[in-house]
Amino acid sequence: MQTLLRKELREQWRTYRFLVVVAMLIVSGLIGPLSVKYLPLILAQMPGVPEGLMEVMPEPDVAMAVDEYVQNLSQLGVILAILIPMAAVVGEKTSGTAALILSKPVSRAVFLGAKLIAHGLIFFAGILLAGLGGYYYLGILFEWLTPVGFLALNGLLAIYLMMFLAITLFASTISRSQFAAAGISFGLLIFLSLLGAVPSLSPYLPTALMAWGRALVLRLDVEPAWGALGVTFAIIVSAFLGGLLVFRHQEI
Amino acid sequence: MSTIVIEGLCKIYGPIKALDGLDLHVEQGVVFGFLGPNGAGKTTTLRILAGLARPTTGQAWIEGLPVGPESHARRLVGYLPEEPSFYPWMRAREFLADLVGGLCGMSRREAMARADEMIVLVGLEKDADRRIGGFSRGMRQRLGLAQALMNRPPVLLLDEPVSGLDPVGRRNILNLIDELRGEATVFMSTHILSDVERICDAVGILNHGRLIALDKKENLLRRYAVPVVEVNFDAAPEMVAHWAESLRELPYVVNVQLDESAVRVTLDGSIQSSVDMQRLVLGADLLVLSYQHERPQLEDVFLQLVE
Repeated sequence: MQTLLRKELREQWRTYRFLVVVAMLIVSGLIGPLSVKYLPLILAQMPGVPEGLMEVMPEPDVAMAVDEYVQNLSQLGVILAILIPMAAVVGEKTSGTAALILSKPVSRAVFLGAKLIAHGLIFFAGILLAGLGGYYYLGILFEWLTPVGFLALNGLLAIYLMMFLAITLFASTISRSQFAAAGISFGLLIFLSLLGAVPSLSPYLPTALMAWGRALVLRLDVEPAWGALGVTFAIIVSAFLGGLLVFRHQEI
Repeated sequence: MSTIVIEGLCKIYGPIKALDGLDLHVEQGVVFGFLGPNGAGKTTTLRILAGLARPTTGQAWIEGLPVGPESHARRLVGYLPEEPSFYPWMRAREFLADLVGGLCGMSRREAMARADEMIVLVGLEKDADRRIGGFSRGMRQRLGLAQALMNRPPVLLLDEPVSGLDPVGRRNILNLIDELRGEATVFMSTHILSDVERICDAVGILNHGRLIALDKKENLLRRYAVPVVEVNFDAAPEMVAHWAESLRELPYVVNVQLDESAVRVTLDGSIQSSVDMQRLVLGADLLVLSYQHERPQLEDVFLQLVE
């Protein structure tokens, strides 16, 4: 596992994917609090802003900034979690590198596992750095939040993105092209959004993790979304095992 | 003792039968040439032996271990695909030492030393620290052979090992394979019959997924290759044609080909027929410019069997 994990991490670094993911997540994490704080000021300076708009705009507060932070990171994070690993398996199969690797004494579980862990690590690193920046800006622009709550929010965000990484790796394993893999992942994203419209299901869907994280940061009295956390982990494990099951029967 | 054993191997891709009940035993330490026209099933066989594909029916063993995607037999095998692919961002030395060495369970120090050894062996010293993405086809082929040899495997599976190499590179790789004789069992597929003739001890000929010939090279040549006599006359073509026509009636003459004043006669393989032919040429009352009794070629055997 170590050899392939090292190779995967090195690949993320040398192909600049690590930098792209981390930089985009950091920027996305910083923009949230900044935009909430300064958007009213920017609008006030702009010519042609309808009269009375400034009066109806709510006063920016820390809750709005946290919402913006979560929304930015989760949306951009999901897109990155689909686009970055979409070629991870299918690309190696079509280029022929998978054949060279899998003719060595290495199991297919390790081959897939190394990819999931490596991608997970770069997203965790991105969320960590974005979280540090976001926490600092939220603190100086609004108020200092409880570090444990903010850490929990980012942890839940990372698990949420990990789910999309696992789904995309599964899709990359079963597909014949990277675009098909991305299509499957986007399809599942839409499906989960549609399921969210069912009130009885929404507390158990992965998106509920964001609301839970928000509540932990803002110290709101909300029921913990253990069910959603369990479902998210179940999807991660199922995607990995499902991918492995298919991969074990595939010819390289 | 057979190092590679294949029994009743069948592989079906939709309507296509890539392998049709292949049975094959390859002895330890030999260089085995696996021949066949395009689509005969050579690559499929190699991929099954390397654990990358599964047979539809049948089984194969390497040193007694069944082959397959998660098989321990892969520890005993070095595999070179027809067109080896690498990570373009990696460097050759890094690929061999860090990746291949690690996957083969070698210690860091051992992998580094072996990688350096392999780099020299395949002649990539100057390019060892260059990105593989900039390598030519020949360099990739040599790196592919280096990775197959990294863990000193007792069995080497080589799919067209010298394709894409220049004459010097080809000679070097063939010499290298030749030197492995006795140390490792080499199972190589190729289209280049002269290479097989040069280095292989035993030959298997595959056609439409079936093994149509399997023997030591000399036995195959003795059994299938027929002697050919080529005579060049300094005489009018009509006279040569007249003489050539008279040969067709002889019982030991299999075929006669005429090209202006040159005649190519295929004999039945008996020693007496060669002696008689020599006498007939000298008694033809025509000036002989050259007389050549050609040594049977593997190509003749191959063409005779697959056509």
